[in-house]
Amino acid sequence: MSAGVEVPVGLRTRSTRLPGPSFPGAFRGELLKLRRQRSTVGLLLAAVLLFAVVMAVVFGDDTMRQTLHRDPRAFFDELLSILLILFDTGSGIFLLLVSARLVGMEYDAGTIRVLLARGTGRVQLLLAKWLALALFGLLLLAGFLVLAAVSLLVVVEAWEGSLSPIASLPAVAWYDLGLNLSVALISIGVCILLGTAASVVGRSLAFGIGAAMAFFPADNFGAIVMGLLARLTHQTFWLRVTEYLLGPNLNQLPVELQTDHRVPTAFATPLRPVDTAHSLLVIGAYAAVFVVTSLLLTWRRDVLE
Amino acid sequence: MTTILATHDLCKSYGTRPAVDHLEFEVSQGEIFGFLGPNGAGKTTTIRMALGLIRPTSGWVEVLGRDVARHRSEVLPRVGALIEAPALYAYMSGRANLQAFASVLGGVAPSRLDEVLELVDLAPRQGDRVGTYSMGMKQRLGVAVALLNDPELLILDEPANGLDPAGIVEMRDLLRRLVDQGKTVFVSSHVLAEVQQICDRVAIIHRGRLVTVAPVAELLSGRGEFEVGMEDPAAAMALLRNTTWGADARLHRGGLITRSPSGRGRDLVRFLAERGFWPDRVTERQQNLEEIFLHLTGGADGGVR
Repeated sequence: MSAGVEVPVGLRTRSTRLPGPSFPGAFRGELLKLRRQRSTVGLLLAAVLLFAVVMAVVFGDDTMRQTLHRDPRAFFDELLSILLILFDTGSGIFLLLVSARLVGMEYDAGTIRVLLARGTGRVQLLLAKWLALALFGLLLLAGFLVLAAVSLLVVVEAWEGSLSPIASLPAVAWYDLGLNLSVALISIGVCILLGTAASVVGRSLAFGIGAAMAFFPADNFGAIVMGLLARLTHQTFWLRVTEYLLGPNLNQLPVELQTDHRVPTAFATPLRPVDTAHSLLVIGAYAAVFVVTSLLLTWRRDVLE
Repeated sequence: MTTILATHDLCKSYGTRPAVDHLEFEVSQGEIFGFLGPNGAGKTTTIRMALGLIRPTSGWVEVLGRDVARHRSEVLPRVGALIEAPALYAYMSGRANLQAFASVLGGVAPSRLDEVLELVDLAPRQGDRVGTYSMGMKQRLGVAVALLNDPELLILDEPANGLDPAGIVEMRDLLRRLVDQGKTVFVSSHVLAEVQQICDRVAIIHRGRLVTVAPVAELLSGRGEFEVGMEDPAAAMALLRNTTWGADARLHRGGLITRSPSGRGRDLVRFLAERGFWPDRVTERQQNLEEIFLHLTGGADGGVR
């Protein structure tokens, strides 16, 4: 601050009254914060690299080529399952980190007090963060779809000399693609809500990221522990508990939705049979808890940061 | 004078411990109002209540004529604040920080960013990451954030923190210029010299309670006391203590502090001389805020310097 600096015009006179904080403004602010995170760009590059490696491994397997030649539908189903697992896992980790960070950094840096002290609504700010993260998740899915489609088309063209195996796929294959996209969207939503809730509860970046990242490994591992306990105690109670774990229900969802073919799963699933309605109900209940917890704590708690 | 900020029987307790205890004071338009107290006196808690960050246990805060808790979205966009350490996004540049906060505030023209950057002398470093800024630069950027929306009331909590002596002088100059433009500045500090030099009026708070509110000049006026340099001040003190007006006479740094029989220095000189005590010098006593603070609080806990 140099003493010789003229007081800017804006300080000399009462400027035109500002419109004040708005939801679109808060949303734009959140997008800016997301865009400027170098770690986000780094993670995206790592994700693309991981995708390339997985695709190289998948398409390097000769049985896939034989499957495409023999039964394009089976090839498509298998590839779709692999891609869904890859997306759910990769985007899950990514969105948990980004969501926990977008909320947690406000508490860690104390910027939450600056934003709220200017009249921004607490809930408005949280909703803006959710919307920005949702847009981010959708862009992530869109990017993944483009990468997957290009890879698929290039490989099919290279192996078969034409795209006819894709064009000849039955309508149900595209319906299954729609189901897998729905599962991916649900996964995106749950991860965003979990990441933000963890940071809101802990009011800290470290706690938010730690809790969010530990959640799915804990409940996937929990399903295995429940299975062991059921064997040891001969009590079905432990098995019933796994029906209400979030991760196993998310893992089970594509299996329940696609009944026309066998769908492989990479992680734990409930240890008793559950149907689609049950899984959706459990996932919805967890999502509701994350939403209500975030909203209530954001709305009610004093800002001490 | 229009009241810009007022607390009405304001209380805040954490458990059974009162942090702010029935606080009542008013800040008028166009003044620099000092809010003084040792660390833990309740200054920041009061400011947080004034900014709607924490809810009062009872009582209320009036900002720009309205209850801030009920009308935060109308009132707070007209207030700028810097609370404790500057809260910024370390991974973003100085300018991007301003953009992020401006988005949330709404209606801030891009040229306004240039104005405030120029004002706080950060224009040359606006493209650098805030993580690379010194504490003083962060403090100045925090002030720039507070000024973004051309606020009517500026609330600064310990604004000199991290500033070097030149920066403190420039901050003082900036605040004066802002007041010259008709703005009101509320400055909280535990540094008495800082408050003494820039404030028109001061409120002293101790253990959550208001000790006094008065113009700084009135507080510093010395309460009609004189400092007398002389030989054998102890004997003179004993003599003075036998008078009705000199009962508070005391020794101080080898001299004597006392009132005068009439409030005028020449009558004190005559009284002493007639009794054989010839003063070497008699000066009207100017107290500093530290002495006043210690006097008013009966010797406060540490933390004020």
